[in-house]
Amino acid sequence: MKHTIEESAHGVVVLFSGDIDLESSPKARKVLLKCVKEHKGVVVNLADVPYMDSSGVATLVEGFQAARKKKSHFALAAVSPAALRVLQLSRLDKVFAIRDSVDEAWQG
Amino acid sequence: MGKGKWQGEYLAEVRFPGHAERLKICRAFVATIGRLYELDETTTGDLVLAVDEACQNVVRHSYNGGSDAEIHVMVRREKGVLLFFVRDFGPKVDPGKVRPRQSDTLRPGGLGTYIISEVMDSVSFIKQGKGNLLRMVKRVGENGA
Repeated sequence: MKHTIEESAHGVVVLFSGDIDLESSPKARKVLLKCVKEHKGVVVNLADVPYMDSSGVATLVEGFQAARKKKSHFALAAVSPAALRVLQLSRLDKVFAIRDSVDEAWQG
Repeated sequence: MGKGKWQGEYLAEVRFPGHAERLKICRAFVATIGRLYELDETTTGDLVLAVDEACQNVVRHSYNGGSDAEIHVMVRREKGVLLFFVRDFGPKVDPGKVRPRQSDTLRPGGLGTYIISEVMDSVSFIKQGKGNLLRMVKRVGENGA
């Protein structure tokens, strides 16, 4: 799994590319929590995530909770079908702000 | 139903060391089973996820984060169902302590078992001499099995 971070006027967009699984989720967690800590808002772009498991969901939950604690913006954008499916199976798809595009994700 | 711990027709099996980076082998194996039995994409994806989660539980808990000890994943079929068996050689699991988290609970842990229970039609531990044996049953219809 790779990641890129793009700065924007609202905060940062974290783009993950590749599987977010038991092997890669510790790295994803570190990246995400650092971004939440250092920026006023985070959008996680999951368009290029062909597979995500419960450890990936847990990573997103931690990011979401950290953002909520500091009252900053946190949303998911362009979620791939596989990532959306695991969020649905976890019954957490209604908890996250999930938007079709990064632009929409910044709008709340 | 067959007798004993095994039931149905033996289809295939994969064995791999209990490390996180080896779980891709298991995922590819289950995806192949799905394609072979012409399951729809969602069902195949769900099965890949559920079996992966079961193996993750082994890596995390039975193997304390990773071990060279093996995980065996076996697939069998019976009329209208696929049966997935996950075998490990770690300490005995107390089935009473393996519970899915409450639905809609927002906490990072405990998701894997919940996902397995959502995907599979039944999940149970089978008494085993050494280690643990998890059986997961999925109804796939007559065409699928």
